[in-house]
Parts: sequence; structure tokens; C-alpha cells
Amino acid sequence: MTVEAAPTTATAPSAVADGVTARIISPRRLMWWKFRKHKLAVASAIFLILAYLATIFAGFVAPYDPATRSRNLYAPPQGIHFFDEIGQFHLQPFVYGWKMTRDLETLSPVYTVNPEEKFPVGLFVRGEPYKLFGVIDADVRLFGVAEGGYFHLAGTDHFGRDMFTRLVYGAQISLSVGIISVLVSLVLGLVIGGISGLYGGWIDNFIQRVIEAIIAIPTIPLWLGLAAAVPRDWPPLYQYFAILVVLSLISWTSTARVARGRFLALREQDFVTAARVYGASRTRIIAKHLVPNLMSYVIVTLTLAIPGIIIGETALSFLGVGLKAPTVSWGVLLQESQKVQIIQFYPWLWIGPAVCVVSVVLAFNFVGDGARDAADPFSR
Amino acid sequence: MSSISVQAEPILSVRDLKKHFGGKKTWSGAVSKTIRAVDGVTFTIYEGETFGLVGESGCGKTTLGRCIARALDPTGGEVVYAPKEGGAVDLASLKPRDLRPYRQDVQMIFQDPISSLNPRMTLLDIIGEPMVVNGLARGEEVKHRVGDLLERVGLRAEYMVRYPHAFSGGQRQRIGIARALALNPRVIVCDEPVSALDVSVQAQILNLLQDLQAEKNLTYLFIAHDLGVVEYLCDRVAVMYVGQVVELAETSDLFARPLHPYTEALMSAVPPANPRAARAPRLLEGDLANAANLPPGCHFHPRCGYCVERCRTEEPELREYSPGRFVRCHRAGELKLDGVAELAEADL
Amino acid sequence: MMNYAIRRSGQMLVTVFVISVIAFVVIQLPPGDFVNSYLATLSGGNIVTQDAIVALRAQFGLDENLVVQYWRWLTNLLQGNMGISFQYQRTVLDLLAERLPLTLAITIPTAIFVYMVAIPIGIYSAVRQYSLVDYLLSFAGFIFLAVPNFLIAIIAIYIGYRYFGGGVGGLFSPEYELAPWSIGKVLNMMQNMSLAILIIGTSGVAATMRVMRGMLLDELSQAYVETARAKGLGEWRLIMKYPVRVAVSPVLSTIGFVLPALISGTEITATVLNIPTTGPLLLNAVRSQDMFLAASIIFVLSILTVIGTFISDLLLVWADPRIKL
Repeated sequence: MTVEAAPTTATAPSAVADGVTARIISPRRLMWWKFRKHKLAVASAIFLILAYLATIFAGFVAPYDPATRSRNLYAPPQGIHFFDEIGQFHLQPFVYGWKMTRDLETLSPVYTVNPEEKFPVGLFVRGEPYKLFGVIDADVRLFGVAEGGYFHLAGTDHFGRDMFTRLVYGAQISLSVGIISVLVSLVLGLVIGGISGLYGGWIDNFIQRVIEAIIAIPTIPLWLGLAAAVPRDWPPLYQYFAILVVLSLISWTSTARVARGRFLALREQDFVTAARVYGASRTRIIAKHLVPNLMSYVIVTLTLAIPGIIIGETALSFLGVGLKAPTVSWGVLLQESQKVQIIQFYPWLWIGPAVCVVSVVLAFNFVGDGARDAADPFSR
Repeated sequence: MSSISVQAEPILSVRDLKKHFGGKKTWSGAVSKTIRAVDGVTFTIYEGETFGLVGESGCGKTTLGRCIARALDPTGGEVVYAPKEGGAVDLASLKPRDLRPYRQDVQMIFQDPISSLNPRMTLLDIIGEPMVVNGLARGEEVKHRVGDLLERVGLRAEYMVRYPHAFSGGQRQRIGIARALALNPRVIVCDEPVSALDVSVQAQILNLLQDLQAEKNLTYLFIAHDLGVVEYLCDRVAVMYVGQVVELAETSDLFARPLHPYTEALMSAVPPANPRAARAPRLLEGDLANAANLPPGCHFHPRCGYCVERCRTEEPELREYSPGRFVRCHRAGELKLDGVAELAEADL
Repeated sequence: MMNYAIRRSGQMLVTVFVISVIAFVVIQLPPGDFVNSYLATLSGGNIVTQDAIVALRAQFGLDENLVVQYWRWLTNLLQGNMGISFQYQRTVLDLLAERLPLTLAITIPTAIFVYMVAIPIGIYSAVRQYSLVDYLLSFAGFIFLAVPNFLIAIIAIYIGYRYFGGGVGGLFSPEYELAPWSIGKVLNMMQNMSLAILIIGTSGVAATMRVMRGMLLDELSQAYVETARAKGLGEWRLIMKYPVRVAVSPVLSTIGFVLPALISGTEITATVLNIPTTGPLLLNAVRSQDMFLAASIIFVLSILTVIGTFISDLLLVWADPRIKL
């Protein structure tokens, strides 16, 4: 529907020779038009961009420091209100404070709304100081309440740390694992798949058998086995990279398969034959004729591989063999929920990370689906 | 149709050229069947002529064309090329590095207007790359030359910033021709350049090819399965059947009086100029012989209406029937075979 | 057919070999070796001399090069000798014999469940393309693809406590835990297992349903369907008779991807639900770097998926005459 209107909105630099204006439509632009038709994919892409921006500006987006402890342990999320208890409307929303009592049987804290305490919620509030990008001193937070109050949008954990803050910081790890792992898989898959497709013969056969074997191995058991090799006394950063490598070691196979398939198909195309006939070198053919034509397919495969990696990190950390506290990732946050009591009594501790994981995975799937359709802009 | 002058020099001599596929041991130990796509082909092309190569699809004509342009490496035989400077080189046996200087002289035009152009390159890059790769031009000079070439093939110079998807099949074929011309070649292997096009566009492209030939003294190896196109364009024609030449003659001779039953069968498939003219159709029955499992004796005998006992057991040689006429048939001359007359006028 | 089976088993052997190499790498990867781990499990206070360590290494062949070690490990493995678990102080074979049947008892019914549910849903979705039901099914499919198994398990536990007031998980409910075998106990076990099957199967159903829908849509756009319609064949009968039969076999051949995913799902879900499959065993082995046990589990699970895929491939070739190989 939009595609007919599209050419008029996107007029490329025109080649004017004899007064005729020509619109140059590059294949990339065609892909963009095709992608744009998928509303869900576009919305998902915007969501993902916002999510990644939030991880970059984590200090600004999060109302607290991930390590800050409050007096309220295991406090449930605070609802935002516009109407107070007598039904009066407030333009500036507010949250109620908590009144804590203890369950005399289990001794666990029980929170009830304290109508006496109201903390107005504002945007761009001065809060705890933080360092933006780790260097710039700042203390303005996206939202929060005035000093003396507290606002836990997603509740608190057993140390009274703000869950929303921890989700934002957890995203830094969980989302970056997805991207970086996939880049490692990209390099591995492109090189190995390329070799397989270009050289053929026994090399191709051998690589294909290895890929088949890796695909046949159930992923989570293999990840567990490989993750066991990561020394427990390594510093968090090393562990992070080790887990990254473990995740990439398996996920390159799909990229390699796609790359090989495209290499094989492209090799037979007449424009490649033409390049050989006019004497283009092998390197030149790969760089100028093969790779540009297979990148779109590879990017689609990668987009569709990211969810698997994010789930992989989450699963490994959840099982306690991936990242570990004090590192904060969605999987580490979920690790708490191995205890049945937590699942039962403090559901916000797992619902938060679960919603984050599912929505990001869903968004990547939608983007991937839209991109798959756009990858071949000349079809139909 | 210009008759070839006697003084013309041979530019390409194909000697016993072979291209076999498969036959290698696979990792599991099984040996795949050898497919003899081109199996001992010999002919000579003279400078300035258009040499036709016809046959059913799958007969090996495309493979042969690609071996000559060294898009494929032949399994055996020679392709002796006579460079401008004199002398002779065997293109079939040269190593890739030694081949480079002669690559420019032999170029190709492809059948499929879609797959023959890289969709991610502009016309400037598509037509300019051969020049850059071979060091013929660089920078602004490339742009000038590409512009000239585009205009020469009937496109506008300013199209060079566009991508192939913006063009029709016929236009894309013109782009392919411009790319082939970029290196000022002497020989062009035209691999069914018009068979994917609409009939109205076919004539335009054929005329363009003829004009270019006259202008630049080009030699064409013209591969086709459409006999009408061949009769219109070619000086001499070779008919191929499962990897071998079964008949070779000047176009007019071949069409007037074919010597091989296969040639006759091909011609009878062409609609006659005068539909009322009585002619017994000799339709080909059965399929093209399997190049991996050839029948004994004459490869054509299972489909041949004139087959005798000798054809089943003894493989015929390609022999010179009369000066310049070659045929691979035991019964050549004793059979009275039908040709076609004035086919070109009817078709084009 | 025979030829295909032979060639396919040749390929399978190569795959098994590569898997064994990967499993061996898993054993070798953690820092330290067999003996370190072995010493670590010995009760503290024992003073082990350097000589004793060297002797131990020699005894287990750890002073040989890796290829020799691999070969020894593989030949032992093929004879059923998978080594000893330090943690449990039992042979790996014993432990596997105890746990593996339950893994299979969950995975195989799950595979059947996935195809039994996904194919009809996929057919319905394709035939009623763009209907409300199709949209809902597609949307649900996307969601279930995005929710990892262990999260579904957690949600199930939560719902169990919250709305049914009972614990979810384990192979038996508490009242049957120690009771002798009875019909009630078997039913209880099956009930608990069917919950696991449901949880593990969801993402498989979501994925397979989408493949089935896509395949059938491709098939429905073919000309022969139009022809059959023109001949006046009843719509459902027509669809079931031709396009579905064509579309189903590529769907069934996805088992090579589905099976490993299901086993993965079984292991992690069993860990959350506390069902004594190889899953919790593997996790424990990995946590305590009991690598012989861990690698053996990975190896055996992979071999099972390879064999499962092999059998289904053969069945498919036997059932579908168009697959000529």
C-alpha cells in the first residue's frame, strides 16, 4: 500500500543531463521500502532501538543505582496514581508509601499501602549522582520522586534494591550479549560457510558434517558442558566474554549454512561467470560480487539468531552456570526464582525479567520476519 | 548474411575439446558417473564470421562456449587462438595468470538478462569493472568510456548511475553487450543472447549485434536453439548432439540440404514459411541421450528414423563429406533429407 | 531404499564421530584434569605425595597425548564403559540407566504431541488464512516462540500455587512420593508428566505450526488445486487428499531440528520442575565439574537425537515415494 507512494517521497540525487530527472533507486532503498510495509516489524525495530538506547543511558533511565539498598525488602511494585483516596484528581501523578508488617507465621514482610505517605512522581528529577557513560558526572534521572520518598516501579529484591533499576542495568549485559555473540557468529559463519561454499570438495563435506553434528547436539546441554569450563574465580568481565564465546560457538552454524547456500547459488550466476571471463581476481569476485549479494540474507539469519542467544544467556545464568552476581543480567535476576518461595510470594522478581526477555525476543523475531521478506527486494 | 571470404584467417581453432563432469571419488567411496558434456569437438572459426552452434538444450553447447571463453576449464583438447600480434596460443591449457592478456580478446554475452548483471552494482560499475580490472582506464576515463558504450548499445549515458533492476530484459541485454565490449574484444561468445527476450526485442538485439560486428570486425560464436535466428545471422553452423558435432556446413548449404537425420529433425520442428507446402514432419521422438550413459554405436540411433544395423554397433566419425562440409553419419549422402527454404524471411 | 539407508548410516557414523570429538573436548576443556578433580573429592586431610599423583595420572593414561586419550575414551565408551562420576561415586553407565528412561519417556511423547497438535492447527490456519482464528493462532505462535521453556515452567508453578493451591513439579505429588506403586500413583505420575510435556511442547508446536501453515499455503496456490476444485471435489476432502499430503512430509522432516530442541527443553524444564531426568543430573555434573558424567550425558543425548532423526528420515522415505535418493 505504501510502496506505490514511496518513490515520490524518496527522490534520490538525480542525474540531470538533458533535463530529464531520473530517480536512482538503490537495492538498499528497495529493501527499506519492503521492510517498511511490515508495521509490526517497524514498531519492533523502534522498540529495540529505544531498549538499546536505554542501556547506553542506563544511569539516566534508572532511578537508582543498582547496588543501592532501601529499607523495604521484597517490596512489591508501587502503582502510579492520578486520583487520591478521596477521588481527587492530581495532575502530577504520585505513589503511596508502604506500611510494612510481618507475617507472624512466616516472618516474611507484608506491605500495605500507607495513605498518609504520598510521593509525587516527576520527570527529570535530581536523584542519586551517577556517571553517564562511566565518565560524566550527572544527577538528573529520567523520572523519580523527591528526596525522602521512594519509588520502586518494579518492586525491590531481598536487599531492597530497586528492580526496575536492576532490569535496566541487566539489559546492558543481556542485550549486548545478543549483539556481540551474533557478530562473532557472523565472522565465524561467513568465513567457514564461505570456505565451504567456495572450495567445495572434501573441505565442504567435512564442514557440513561438523555443522550437522553441532545441530544434532541439544543446545542447552552442550552450552552447559562448555560453560563448565569457565573458571569460577575469573573476574566478571572475563566470565562475560567466556560466556559470549560459548554462545557463539554454537550459533555460527545457521549463518554458515546460509552463507554456504548463497555462495553456491551466486557462484553459478552469470554475472560471476562474466567477472571471471574478464579476468577479475578471486578476491575481487568474493568482495564485490558475492559478499554484497549475500549480506542481506546473512543479516536476516543473524537477526533471527539473536533471540536464541539472549535466551541462551538467560537460561545459563538462570541455571547458575552462566554469569553470576554481582554481574546483573536478566538471567542472573531470574536465578533467584529457582526458589519456589520466590516464585510464589514475590512474583515481581521474576515477572520483571521475564517480561523483558520475552518482549525483546518477540521484537527481534518480528524484525527478523520483516527483514526476511525485505532481503530479496526483487521478488514478486 | 555475408558469405565468408576465402582469405579470412582462422582466429579460433578448437581441437578435440572435451569437458567431463563428475567421475570423481566422493568421500563415501562411491564413484559418481562421468558426464561427457563436451566430448571431442573440433572446428575452426575465421576472423569476422558468425559461427553458429545449435542443438537441443542439454546438448553441451553452452558448456562448449564457456570452455572456449575459459569460464570453465576444459578437461582436454585445445583452443588455439591467433592473437593480433601473430603467433598462436592454446587458451585451453594456459594457467590463469598466463591467460590474463588473452582474456580481453574473448568475451561473453549471456542468455539470462536477470542473472547476468550484479543487482548490487550500478551500470557504471558493471561496465567499468572490466576496464579497471584490466588496467584499460581509471577514474574519469572509465565514466567517459562507459557513457560512450552505453550510447553505442542504444542506452543513455546518464543511465550509468542506475541499478540493473530499473531496466527491461532487452535493455539489460544491451548492458550485457556493453560490458562485453568494454575490453574491445575480438571474439564474443554469444550464449543464446536473445532466447529469453520477446520476439520484437529479439530483432533489435540481433541487429545491434550485426552492426557492432561490422563496425568493430568482431567474430561471433553464436549459440542458439532457434534455427530461424541462426539462419538469419550465421555464416556457418555446427549442429551438436550430446557433446559432439554431428554436422558442420555453411548456413545456406545446411538449410537447403541437411546431411544428418538429426539436422533434418531439428529443421522439421520449425514452422514452414508456406503453411500449405506439404511436408512430412519428422518429429524427434524420445529424449536427448543421457550424457552419463551413452548408447553404443551412433549416439543418435535410438531416435533416428533411418537407423540400420551398422548404426547400432559402430560409432561414426566426423568426416569431410565435401569441402567445408562435415557430417557424422554412416548413411550421409545416401539419404534424401528435407531442408527448409527461405526460413529467415518467414520468421523475421 | 536400501542404498539410501546405507549411505545415510554412513553419514550418521561420521556425525557420531564428530559428536564424540566435541564431547571429548567438553571433558578436556575445564582447567585441571581428571586427577585434580579426583583429588578434590577425596576427603580433606589426606596427604597425597607427588609420586602418588604421577602414578594416578599414569593409571588413567593422562600422561599420554590427547589423541591416544581420546581413542582410549572412545573405545571404552563403545564398550559401555563411560567412566566414573566423582560426585556420585558410581559408574556413569549406572547413573544414565537410572535417569535416561525418564528423559525418553518425556521427550518421545512430547515429539508426538507436537506433531499431533501442530499439524491440524497449521492446516486450519492455512485454509482459513486471514481469518480471526488464523490471526489469533499466529499471534499465539509468536508469543510461545518467544517464551523460553523454563519461564513457562515458572509460570506454571506460580499458577499452581496461586490458583490451585498446590505445588507443581516433581514426578509425584507429595502424598504419593513414598507410597508403594499403585494405579493412583501411576496416574499421578502421568499427570505430572503430561504437564511437563505440555510445557516443553509449546514452543515446538508454535514453530511447527508455522512451518505447516507456510508449506500448505504454498501448496494451495498450485494450479492442480484449482483443477481439482474445478472438478467439483469437496473443499475439505480436496485439501486433505492432495495438498496436505504434499505439505506434511517436509514438515515431518523438520524433526532433525525439533528433536534436539525438545531434548534441550526437557532438560531445562525438568530442572525447574524437579523431575529426575538426566537434566538435573547434568546440571549437577556441570556445577561440580564432574566432566565424565557431563560429557557422557551430552554424548548419549546427541546420539539419541541422531538415531531418532535417522529413523524418522527412513520412515519418511518409505512413506513418501516422491523422495527419491
